[in-house]
Amino acid sequence: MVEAVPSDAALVHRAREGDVEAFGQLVERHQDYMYNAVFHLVRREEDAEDVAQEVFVRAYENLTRFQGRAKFTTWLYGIMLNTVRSFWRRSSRHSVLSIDVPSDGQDGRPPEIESGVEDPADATMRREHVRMVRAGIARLDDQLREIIVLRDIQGLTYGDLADALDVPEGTVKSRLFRARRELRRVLEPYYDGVS
Amino acid sequence: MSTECQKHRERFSEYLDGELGEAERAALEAHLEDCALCRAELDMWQRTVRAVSELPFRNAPEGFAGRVFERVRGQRIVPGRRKLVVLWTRVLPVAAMFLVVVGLTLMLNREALLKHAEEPEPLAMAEPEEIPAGGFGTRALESAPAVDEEGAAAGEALGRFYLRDELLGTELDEARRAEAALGERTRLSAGGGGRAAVPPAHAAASEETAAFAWRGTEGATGELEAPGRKQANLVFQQVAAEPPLLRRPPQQVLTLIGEDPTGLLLRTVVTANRYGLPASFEVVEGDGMNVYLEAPQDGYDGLLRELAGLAAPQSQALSNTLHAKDDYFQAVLIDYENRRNEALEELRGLMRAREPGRALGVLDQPRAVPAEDARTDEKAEAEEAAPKEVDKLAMPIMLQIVISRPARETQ
Repeated sequence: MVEAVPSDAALVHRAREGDVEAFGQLVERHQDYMYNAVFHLVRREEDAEDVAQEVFVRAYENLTRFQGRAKFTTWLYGIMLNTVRSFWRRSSRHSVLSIDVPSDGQDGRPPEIESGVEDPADATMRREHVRMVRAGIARLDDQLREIIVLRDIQGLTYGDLADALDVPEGTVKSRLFRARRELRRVLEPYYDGVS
Repeated sequence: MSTECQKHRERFSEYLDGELGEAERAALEAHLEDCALCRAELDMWQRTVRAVSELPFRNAPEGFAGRVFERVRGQRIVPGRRKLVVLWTRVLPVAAMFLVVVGLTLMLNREALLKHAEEPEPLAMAEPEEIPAGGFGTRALESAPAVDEEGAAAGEALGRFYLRDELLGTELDEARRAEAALGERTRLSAGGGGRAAVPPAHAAASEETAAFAWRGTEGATGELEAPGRKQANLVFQQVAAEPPLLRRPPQQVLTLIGEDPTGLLLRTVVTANRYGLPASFEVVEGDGMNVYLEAPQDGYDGLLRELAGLAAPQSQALSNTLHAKDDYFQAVLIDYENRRNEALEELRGLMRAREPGRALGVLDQPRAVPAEDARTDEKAEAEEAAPKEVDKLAMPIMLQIVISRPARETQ
């Protein structure tokens, strides 16, 4: 017999009625995707943790505002974007930032999708590749970086992008076009080097 | 590229997402059949999208959910009109189970993690032989003295300048090109009643313009965010009247002369940051600027050469100040323990430099290799003169970098 997995909407409903376990389930369900998005936007592990926590805290505080017109995840992405933007504003005003530590393992962790025995040369190339692509994304304008991360890393549909970014779908298309064109331009010298 | 190609390329993004209508898709594919350039371009787009989508996924770190719970514990949410006190004790068993799962996952990854930790991670864009472990490092900046958040005393022109370099992680040449572009296109300016660090000129509305945050000289704060951005993010903050970096007078002065002093300033700071060194700077009359660095002796020479190279093809020169003392240079010499042979070559110039006020000349010219017997004498002299105290070894070198435009008549 298959046990039914409660939908996000059902969990939100229960959480709003006071069932905190339901909110706990929502956090567990979405923390990895949310964290991944935040990490690729803020780039530093320690910042990503703080910002991602803030996303869920804000979501919790605003749970009653969720009307259920959009998907819960889309609503959460909207909160995530606002939180990340606040972080960017805060850091450009106050932070004393060290140079970015490049590549995977910047937090001492290995790249997460690696298994089996990998040729060290392949591993090095792979790290370099990841480093280049991340650096390329980091060079994008905030808006372009957001849309690249949400579309090409998180896999949101155009409709979800429009909801999360609160812009018309036409804007999603044009912004995504500009983001990819810019990233392609930035990465071109690297492609030339490896192809 | 023809207008036809242009028109079709504008649909690449939607094409790759399968979002084009049937007619548009057919038209684009027909064009691709005939146009090798557009096929190649589409291939670049595909590689770009694929490269991003294949980036490693980052799971939330261990204990993340628990920490979220901790933060919202005791908070109230207001469902409808009814206030609710959250009872987190009911969540904890769920959280505990989650932590066990995450813990197991991390343990499984531990071997890979340890393996990774054993592999030396090269510093970004740094030349490894110039940056020994434990010498300069990216951590040094993080332990830099805190900037005075309250603003500086009125009238102080000193600022502290940090660069968040979005470019690190890119190839050196590319980063340098972009830095050069940044220097050409951006100027610091300020709002909020403060004083500009560099005479306000313009903030070009370019996508590559940097964003600046700024703290004024009289406690006022100003912030300038040029539209677009993200080649780099500069954070400029005023510091107290006696910033820690300037407690000691400079021991050496490096003069960099170039047509673009702002660009030189930026590149100097980028270079210093790359070595993990915070830089202070002050603006002097005209377009001149002084940058101050407190540089560890380890790798100092490499840093100097790199900084000197920034002014190429124009000029640069190194000289000692009256504050340079013998033991300072001796300490420099014995810090080359692990590279003794190399140090011998440096020794000749450095020994000569023990005379305060004497110019050392232009750095990027090939230096004469001393004759063998002269080397031996100088080595003996250096070893005899070298102080034995370890604390002198640890004393960083106070370097002043004077940046200015070439004099008009020399242009």
